[in-house]
Amino acid sequence: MTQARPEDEAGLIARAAQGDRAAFRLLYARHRDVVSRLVFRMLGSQRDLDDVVQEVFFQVHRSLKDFRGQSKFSTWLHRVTVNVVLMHRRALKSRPTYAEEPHPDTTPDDEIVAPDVDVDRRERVRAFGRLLDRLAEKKRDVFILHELEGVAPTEIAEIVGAPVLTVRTRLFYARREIEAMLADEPVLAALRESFAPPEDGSEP
Amino acid sequence: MTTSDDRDMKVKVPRTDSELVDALVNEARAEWVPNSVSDDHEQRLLARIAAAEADTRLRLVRGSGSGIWAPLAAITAVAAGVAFFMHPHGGDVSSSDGDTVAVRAAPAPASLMPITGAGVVRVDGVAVRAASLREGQKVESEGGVANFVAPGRVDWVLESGTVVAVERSGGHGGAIVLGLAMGAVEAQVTPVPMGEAFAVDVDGVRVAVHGTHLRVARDGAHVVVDLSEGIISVGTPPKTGSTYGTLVTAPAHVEFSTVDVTGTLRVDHEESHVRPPVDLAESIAPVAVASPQLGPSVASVDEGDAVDPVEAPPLAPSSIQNPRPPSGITTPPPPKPPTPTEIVTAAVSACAEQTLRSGGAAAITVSSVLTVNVNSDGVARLATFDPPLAPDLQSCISRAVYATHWTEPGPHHIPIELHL
Repeated sequence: MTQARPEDEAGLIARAAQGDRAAFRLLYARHRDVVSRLVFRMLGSQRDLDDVVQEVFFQVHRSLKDFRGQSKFSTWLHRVTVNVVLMHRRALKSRPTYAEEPHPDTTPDDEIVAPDVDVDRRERVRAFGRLLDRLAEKKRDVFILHELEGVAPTEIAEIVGAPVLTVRTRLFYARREIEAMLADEPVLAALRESFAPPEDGSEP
Repeated sequence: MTTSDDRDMKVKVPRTDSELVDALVNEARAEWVPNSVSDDHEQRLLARIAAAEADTRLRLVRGSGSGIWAPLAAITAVAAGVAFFMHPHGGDVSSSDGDTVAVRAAPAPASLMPITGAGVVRVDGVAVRAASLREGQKVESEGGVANFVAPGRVDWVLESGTVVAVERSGGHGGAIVLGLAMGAVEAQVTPVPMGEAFAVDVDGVRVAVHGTHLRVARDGAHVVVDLSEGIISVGTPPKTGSTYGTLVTAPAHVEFSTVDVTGTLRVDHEESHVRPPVDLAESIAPVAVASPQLGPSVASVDEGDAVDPVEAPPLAPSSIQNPRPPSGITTPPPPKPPTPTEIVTAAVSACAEQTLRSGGAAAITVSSVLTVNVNSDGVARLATFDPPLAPDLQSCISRAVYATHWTEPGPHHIPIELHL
């Protein structure tokens, strides 16, 4: 997660683990946005985001004294976040829905796009979300961690408690299944049909 | 696709499915960003933490007064208060007279006997004195210790203030699985030749028992396991088969957080750090209850396990007596503590399932003889396998062998036959 200021992160963690409230608040401030983003992407919606993020930091606070520093704090925090989301999902007994709820408008002010283009992009992303919905949970989670969050497979292995080879396999099959499902979404199927011909003139 | 779409893609115009997925990932990465958490998020979090800390302090203060072990100590002094019954295969509940309830539980997987006088046991929120527990039911013990007996298989107690869900009732010879919502469970489990006899789940983490004496307690996400005999697995509950996780041999004091088992698991084999076990065999009182407040009789229990709980008022401490069971009424025999050979046999099964679980379509039979040479002080000096087994398997079994206290010195030969 947050890579900055590693030199004082260990000190902060140690102080927070000993009950230093100010140190814990600093940790919270540093990592809240990254935790929120991962929770949001794993849940697939804004719903329950506040509660789940609060649960993550509540569990972090309770478990900090057990953190032994054998892995990076960011990896540990990812692991806690993933586990809290999984427990939340289990409690709801429902699958995430990436595609059904409108996502917030996050377009930067300086990136002005025409309304029709914006709508098209939103529709593509929702279609992509529907494909993610159809993936098995384990494949979807590693796909999000790797492709959207940029976490390396070795670190994902630590996060989800699986061998690296298993993570790579899940990533491979997740991608392959998504590619195979592209044709099921009209907006994406249309995009496929418009593939530009390769430069050597052969079929794509 | 339209030209505007092509312009909008964040990467070069895709030529293949793979490039299209890359482009979609890029767009999703930019699009799927949450709104900020609410402004008062931090305040609410800190308030929750403060409330939890206050609650912990309060419980510590309460605990220092009466002590959680006080009810357990009372087990041996006070006879049974209320009788529960739990038997998927059928069994028998007898009433010898209006005030005395007796339980005959020959084929039953478990019968439950809350012991302490002021205690109340609720099943799905209803205070009960006799019930056939079913999977999915919630069992709460308040103000006393509830003692369950599965004859020849497992005894366990729910400490005061404990809430569990019966995830698997142990019918048809299967494992008894409890979901621990709060409090603590202590159990004496008779080793089984294969698989697991008893397990406690805590928020998706399973402490599976192959034959042992253990106590599992939780405080929120923090879990403490004290293992005084045998071997357990700590890991993810499997859909089928045995729990795949970290094998822990006794003696061990184990702590972990359910939100991150692998990152927080601590195993301390120092015997002095292990909480002394309660002698559950000693604690099992005769299965007779004398109390006018109990009412005229207990519920009859038919074949199967679909008997509803029978409501009962809580017992007053003064009403508890300890009469002998009426003649002709059999009481469930408490399980004997496992022998060293039983402990090692259970460990062999557990180790085999963990180290050789990859498996394939072909059935494999592995035979060997484990010879353990034991010193006069009961400590294993040497363990040999003839013929040798897989190194991982040998190493795993050896840990259990050396962690076991042997009652008789000299060589012990334990045949091993595994069908995988």
